[in-house]
Amino acid sequence: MSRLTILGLGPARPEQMTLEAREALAQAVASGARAYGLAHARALVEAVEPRLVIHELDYLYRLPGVDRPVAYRDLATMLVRRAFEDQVEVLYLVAGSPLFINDAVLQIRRLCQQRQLPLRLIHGMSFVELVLQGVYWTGHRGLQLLSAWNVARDGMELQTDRPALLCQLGEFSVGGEALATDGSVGVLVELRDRLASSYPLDHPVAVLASSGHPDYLPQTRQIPLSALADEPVPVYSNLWVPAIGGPAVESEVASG
Amino acid sequence: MAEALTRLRPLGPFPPWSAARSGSTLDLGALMRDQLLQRRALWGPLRRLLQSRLAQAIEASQWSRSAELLGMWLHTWPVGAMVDPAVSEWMTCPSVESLATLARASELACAALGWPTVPGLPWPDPPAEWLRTQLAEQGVPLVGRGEGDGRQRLIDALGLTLERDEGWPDELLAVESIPGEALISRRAELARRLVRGELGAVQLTSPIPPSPLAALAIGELRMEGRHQRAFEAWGPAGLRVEGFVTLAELLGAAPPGEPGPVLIPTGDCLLAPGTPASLRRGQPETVGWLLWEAPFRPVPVHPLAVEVLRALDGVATAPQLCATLELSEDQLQPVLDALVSVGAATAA
Repeated sequence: MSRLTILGLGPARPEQMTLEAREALAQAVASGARAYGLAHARALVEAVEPRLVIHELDYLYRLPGVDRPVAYRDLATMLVRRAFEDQVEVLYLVAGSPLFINDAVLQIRRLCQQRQLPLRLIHGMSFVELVLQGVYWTGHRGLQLLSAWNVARDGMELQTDRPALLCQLGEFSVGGEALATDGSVGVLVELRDRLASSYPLDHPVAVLASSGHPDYLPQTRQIPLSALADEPVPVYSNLWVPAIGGPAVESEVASG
Repeated sequence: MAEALTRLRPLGPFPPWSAARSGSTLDLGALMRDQLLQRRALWGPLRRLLQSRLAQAIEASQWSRSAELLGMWLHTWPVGAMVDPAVSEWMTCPSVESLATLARASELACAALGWPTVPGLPWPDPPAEWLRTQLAEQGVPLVGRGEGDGRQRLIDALGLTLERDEGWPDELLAVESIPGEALISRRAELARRLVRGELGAVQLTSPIPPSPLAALAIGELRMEGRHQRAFEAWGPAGLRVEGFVTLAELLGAAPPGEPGPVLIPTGDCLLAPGTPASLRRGQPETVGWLLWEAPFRPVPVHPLAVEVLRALDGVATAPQLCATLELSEDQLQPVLDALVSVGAATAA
């Protein structure tokens, strides 16, 4: 029977993976499902289900002349075709939660809805839980969650009276999954200048990163907005922008 | 006394994985493999020929070719070390690593001998003279191995006739040939057949159109076809292996040596007329190279490091080396430390 499953692997450490996700991975090995994923997802699965063969989707980020929206749309179409036209059991592995900032997942869900195709969604813990450990978010003024890319380059406006979490801060290399960080500075300049049109240059912001494999400990660096582009940030970094005139505690950073 | 020939096998698919001579059958491809793709040839005549061609290219200010030839000359050290095990592995238990090694060895051999390669592939296309030399007997019937086996070269050069065509070995999955412009419209069908294992690879007989859709289509075929990238790089031989790897990915760094009061070299060193990058810029310069007859990357160094390495004889101490080389200890010691750390020298 053909089936398409989107499986959220959680943000980082294997122990953050849900029981449902682990069982689905084991089941995929047993059933011979065809699994697909990017490098980070593969690294996570390797730790818990090394027998699962995962087809590498990284090529989508390296195709000449193919921008990300086109690549995500193609990926969605391809996985739906594989599952329901080719009659292959497909498992699409994504890091974090499938429902957070994942255009391909969104398009798969819409395609399946439009064609009335069955889709199984296995939730995963999102990166937001980890990231918020680095600050004191009260929730009293809500939270704006945006891609730093969209703010820097696509004209997305922040409301300055509410805190904002800008994700994908370090993902500005060609490959998306690449570990090189030096490409981030150029976009950080754009982001800084964009934010400076609404926030004072001494507005405190915090770069929220991770120590990476294997512990993925939160790392927080508070800086004035003016210093945002002074050095590269790691891949999978986020930027915390407290509200102007918001709760004072939201301008502090937390150590743990 | 060798049995009289009753059957001749063509050159392709190259490299074959059978013995060159089996009873009364001569496999010309295997014969060529055994003559060219071997350690003794790469470390001996082929290396000397490449050095000579490099000098000629520099003399003629052919900088791009010079850069290529320098890279090849330097690769004779590691590839020579890897090629014999790679041939054995290829014949018994083929791997993508062994085929990548044979492909690079073939490129080195062709460049050294001045032979062309089969269009789009790294494999040799030997001159008619070589073919005639290998076959003393006349009128031996040719038994084909399927499309792309190079039979026409033999028919033209040796006047042979094709007795029959046995087709590709059964272990090789089928290949679908399509023009590049058909890629987008046939993408879904071809990907499905690759996923199901009905196809080994898709052969594009013309360039694909420069469009995002075509890039996405070939991306999917390469991702889904276990043999696709290997087939594109190495031809039908690629159908025996999965994935793709370059020789550069197979070469590691030499392990560090052991420091000590008296050192010996662990590999070779030489002075070359530059690095591939400097030659490509048309700026030859004297550069030292550290080389190992092992699967390690060649390392460019200051010419002084070569001078020091050549003086290491397992007897001379640092003060004696300083005297011999007319260097101060402050000048010598960092060089010795660096040579040990990159694995070019070790304690005697």
